[in-house]
Amino acid sequence: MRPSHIEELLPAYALGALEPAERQAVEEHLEECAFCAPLAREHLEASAALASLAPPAIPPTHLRGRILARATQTRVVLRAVHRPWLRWSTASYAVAASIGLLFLGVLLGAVLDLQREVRTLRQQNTSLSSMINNQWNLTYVAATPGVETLLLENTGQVPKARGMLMVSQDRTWGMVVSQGMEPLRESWGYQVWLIKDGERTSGGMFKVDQMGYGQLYIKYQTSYNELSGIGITKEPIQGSPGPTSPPVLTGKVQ
Amino acid sequence: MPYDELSDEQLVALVTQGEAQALGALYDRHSRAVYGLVLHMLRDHARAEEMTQEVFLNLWLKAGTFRPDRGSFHAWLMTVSHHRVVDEVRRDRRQQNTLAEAGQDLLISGIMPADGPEAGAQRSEEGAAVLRALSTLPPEQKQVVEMAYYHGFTQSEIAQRLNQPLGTVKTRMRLAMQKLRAALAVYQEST
Repeated sequence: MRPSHIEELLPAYALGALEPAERQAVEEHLEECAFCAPLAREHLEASAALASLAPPAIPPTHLRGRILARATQTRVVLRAVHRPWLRWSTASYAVAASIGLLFLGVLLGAVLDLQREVRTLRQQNTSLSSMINNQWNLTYVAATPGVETLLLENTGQVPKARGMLMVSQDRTWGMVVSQGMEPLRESWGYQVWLIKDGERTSGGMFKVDQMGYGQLYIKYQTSYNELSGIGITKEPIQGSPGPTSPPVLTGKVQ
Repeated sequence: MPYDELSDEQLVALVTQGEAQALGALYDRHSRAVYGLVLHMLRDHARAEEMTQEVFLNLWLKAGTFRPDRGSFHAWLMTVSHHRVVDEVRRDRRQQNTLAEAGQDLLISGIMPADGPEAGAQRSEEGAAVLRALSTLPPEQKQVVEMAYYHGFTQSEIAQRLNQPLGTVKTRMRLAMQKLRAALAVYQEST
């Protein structure tokens, strides 16, 4: 789900505190949003001012000349490539050879740029596929006859976290769905705890996307009716034998 | 008209037409800011030099992507430079795996004003205005600004390192940026 405006992300964007994919998403949004673009402008002017606090430093004197020389070479190469009328005299071959080398350098840079772009697009594609898959699962579960819903309570650990547990009619399986959860580092995830007679057993781990959306299908070992509650905590991705952090969401089974 | 009498925007327009001297004029105006920021964050002269070169060569090739209606050239250039150096700092950190090891003392050290507004006397007027604004921020807001801007941590990493909910970190960033924007607006009105 894409928010209609992204003003909440602008302070982090201006401070450089977003992940590259989030940063790119913000930049794409700003290309087309007349509401957010002026706000972004104010934020970026402010963050650029932060740069002025860095201790003054003078670049080495040779750097200016080197940059201008490389810039000029690059321009010569680009112009030469676009001149079909260029005559190939003997002297031109020597020039062409050096231009060719330079061109290769430029080309290599362009290829690296493209590779980076492809990587980003792949990541976006994976994330989109996963989102569609999640939505499909959710629709399937919600449309199953007799499914009951238990809203989970936010404990205040993650202020915007919301969640619910959908339980099948025969009480043998369910699905936890969460929103507004805090995206965690790669090596961390959310672990679901099923509480029975005061004992907590793991119901599984799940990750959330950048919007804090996540879901987990749970197959009950016994019956859902025997549970007294459910909880969700942040745990290392391999899972913990018991909760090691305060719960983010909890639910009391009636 | 001599290049040094042209505005940044006019120079950028000339750069898009292949005027290397216009690039030189932009370099003369902005290279200290770019190099200063990059050097402060990387703490390595050779790499700071290399990255400054990369920033200006990128400007040479992609000057057409600058949009004057989206803000000043200086803000655009500093944003491009900052994002580039942040990526580099994060790559270094991943390689050295220092995320878990870096001490808390790193986070409040360095640039940020611990000594009040007088510390800004040696800086540019704009720098002094920013410094005054920062000195009025509560320490926890100042801390997230420093961790993000000067140390390249993402907001999730900051939340984890400070053991605070992500929402709290976002709120601190928002409030800090609000004050900074207000201070800058006052400064710009007065000049």
